[in-house]
Amino acid sequence: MTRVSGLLSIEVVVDGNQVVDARASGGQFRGFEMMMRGRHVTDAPYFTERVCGICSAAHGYAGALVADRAYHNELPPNGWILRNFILGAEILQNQIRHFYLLSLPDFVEFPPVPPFQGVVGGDYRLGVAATGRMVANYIRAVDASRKCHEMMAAFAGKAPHAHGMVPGGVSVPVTADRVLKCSSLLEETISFLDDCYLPDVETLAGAYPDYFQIGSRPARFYSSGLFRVGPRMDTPLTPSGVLYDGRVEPVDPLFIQEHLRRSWFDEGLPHPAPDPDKPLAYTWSTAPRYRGMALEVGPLARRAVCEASGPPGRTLFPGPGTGTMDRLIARAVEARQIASLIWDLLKTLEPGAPTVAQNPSVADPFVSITVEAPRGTLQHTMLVAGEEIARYNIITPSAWNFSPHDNCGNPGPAEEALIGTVLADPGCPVEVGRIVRAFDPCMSCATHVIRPGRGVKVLAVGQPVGVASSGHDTTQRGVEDARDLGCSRGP
Amino acid sequence: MDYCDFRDLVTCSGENTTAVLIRELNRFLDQAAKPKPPVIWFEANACSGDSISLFNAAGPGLEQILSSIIDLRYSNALMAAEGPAAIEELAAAATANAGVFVLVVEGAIPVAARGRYGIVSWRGPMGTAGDAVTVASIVEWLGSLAGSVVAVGTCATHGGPSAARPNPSGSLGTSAALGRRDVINVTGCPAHPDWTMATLAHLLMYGPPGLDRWGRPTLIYGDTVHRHCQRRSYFDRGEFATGPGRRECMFEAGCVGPVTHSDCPYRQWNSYVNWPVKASTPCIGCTTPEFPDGSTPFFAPLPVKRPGSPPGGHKEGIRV
Ligand code: SF4
Repeated sequence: MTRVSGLLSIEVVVDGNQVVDARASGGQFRGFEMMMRGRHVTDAPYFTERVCGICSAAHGYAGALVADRAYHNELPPNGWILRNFILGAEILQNQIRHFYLLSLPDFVEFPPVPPFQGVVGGDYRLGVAATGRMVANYIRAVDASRKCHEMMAAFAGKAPHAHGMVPGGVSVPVTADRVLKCSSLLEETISFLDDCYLPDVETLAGAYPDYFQIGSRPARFYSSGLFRVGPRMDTPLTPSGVLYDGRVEPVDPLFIQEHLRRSWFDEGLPHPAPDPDKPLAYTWSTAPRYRGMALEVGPLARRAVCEASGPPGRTLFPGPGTGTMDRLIARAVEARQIASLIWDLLKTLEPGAPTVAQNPSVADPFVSITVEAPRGTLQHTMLVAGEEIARYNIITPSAWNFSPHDNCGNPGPAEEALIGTVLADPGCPVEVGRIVRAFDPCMSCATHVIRPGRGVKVLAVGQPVGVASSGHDTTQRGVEDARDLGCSRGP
Repeated sequence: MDYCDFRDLVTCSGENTTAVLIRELNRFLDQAAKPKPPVIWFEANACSGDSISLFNAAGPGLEQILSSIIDLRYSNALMAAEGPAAIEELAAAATANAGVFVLVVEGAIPVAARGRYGIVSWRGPMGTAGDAVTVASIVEWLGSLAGSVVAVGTCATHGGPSAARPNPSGSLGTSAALGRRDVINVTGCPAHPDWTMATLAHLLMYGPPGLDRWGRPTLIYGDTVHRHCQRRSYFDRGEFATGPGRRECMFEAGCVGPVTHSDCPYRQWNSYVNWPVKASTPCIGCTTPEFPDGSTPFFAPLPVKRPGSPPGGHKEGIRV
């Protein structure tokens, strides 16, 4: 599949005109968890950034936070403010590029010059004027997203694969010139969002109203809360939780399992190894499940969890729908909110005040954190021996969204969204690309995951709240229980 | 414009010079009355970072690159076509331009397990035997047809992070995978957009650029980071930062600038606003063939992470 990050193949089984089964296959495996073993704890941010070139700052943010927790670093205000600013700029870059560079050619007919030649079929519904405006805005989007990376690099050294997020904070001092540069770039970004991105999404939504329905799936979402504030960066700015059956409940990490039946890993504990010839498997992505459920993560999930966690009386989820257009709209609306938020962050920076505070030695050998990346919830888990990484596990947003069928045979979220779709022309299934790209797949991210196996036992130890109250002890038995429970309660 | 001017142009970058670059390029292409050279940009086992980095190009920006400089026949990241139509575009572009097109490879080539660590598409139903179209097979095929091959990013040149130990996917750099010695290597994690464009520009305007022993254009990788670093005076006076975030030389904090060849200190990144040492962090040697294994632990001093390497070169002229 083109216009996705990394290698992704989609297979749909069609009966008549209807998709009756779907498979999402992540085609690449590099094995970052295996590579992390034996490296120094402080290598986590720079090394894990290489997992993903389009959201490297999210891995840098998570990797730096993992190291902070291990060392018990307490960040100075400038440090954690800048971490969030950098992540915010990365998300803006990502969302703008996603909509214009990756998604738009699904809906808008571009002039057939390379690299836009060779499209088969269409279903393009915009008139000449709107099409022209969108194509012009595509070019403006190239500029706008470049400026987001420029703003990020002012404090992060470079992008992709930033240097500024180091254990203990951010390495670049706060100075008036940098704040001014970022303010001016952010102002331009906000104009772009207001003048192009939001109106263009609205135009698409008007022309393709059926896509509020196409790509729908059950409203089951997961968000760990966007941005983290405070010296330990432990307070998310937006609500966290798992939403299903119309309600939000706090996340209990014990209920997160990675199923392997359809993934190219052997299922042996404690260290599942890659098994590229495993029969019946079809992807390098694992299938993370929560209580056996496939949860969608990303901007729509953050919005849904936020709305359902709202003031009393609004605890049920009416919210947006769960269709393709809802995903595109949620991403755009959230981008605008993020722009305002990082604008406020910029104003709270204090020139001359410290940006880094590092403790000298590891205080906590086991750390598990979840943060929000552009595409959704990202979990880094690390076990340390001395100052060396003994185990590292990453569950990426695209592992959630593009997970395969699980051990109970239930499809992953993107697969769910495809199943049931009625194709207007099965010979030219434009719906499939539109549905899938609205999730913003990143397969370089998704496809390197290894279940921690017995390491899950340790997972509970590092979680101060939630686990104890769940009634599960921290033994492997508890994990097995959770796994069984997960399957029996599958959707 | 002769070669020397051109070299000045690309080594002292900035908005103005790059504007000149594109004008010169266009004039050259007009003069030669050549059609735009066909380019196939193939993403192997990568993180897409080199594509994203190219999207960050400033003067010529991406739109100018696409409209005026190259004829991008295939790009996984950008093309509008999808599915079988995209694969058809790839096949048509490669066969119609055999011996002429420039193959750009992004990412490493996984060769373990018959290439199944990098699967581009499927011939039959997924998950059945013998059905996967692998990155390795496509790169091999494209490599046999390409007029020239440019590997962009350290994964594509020497394996890079995709081949970091223990390298479970058996990833290789393009030259090693193809057994082809004339691959032009644009190292970097990611490659700076100017490095990619300057290399393509040189190739199109003057033919293959001069290469160093690692196959890298000397116009970019001719000197070490250390040689041109703004913090060199601190180094020479023995004033070393104890960690990131300080203003002294980053050698003790892990800098591998003394053994890393690139023009980062002059060029800088992201519309030329910053680069790692300016950001008060060590250079991690992302343009070296040994990256990343030769650079970790990232914050350990060079003699610790590369025992036997020069102790940091207290004299000018450290070249490895
Ligand atoms: S060791 Fe690094 S920071 Fe110090 S002068 Fe050399 S390149 Fe610059």
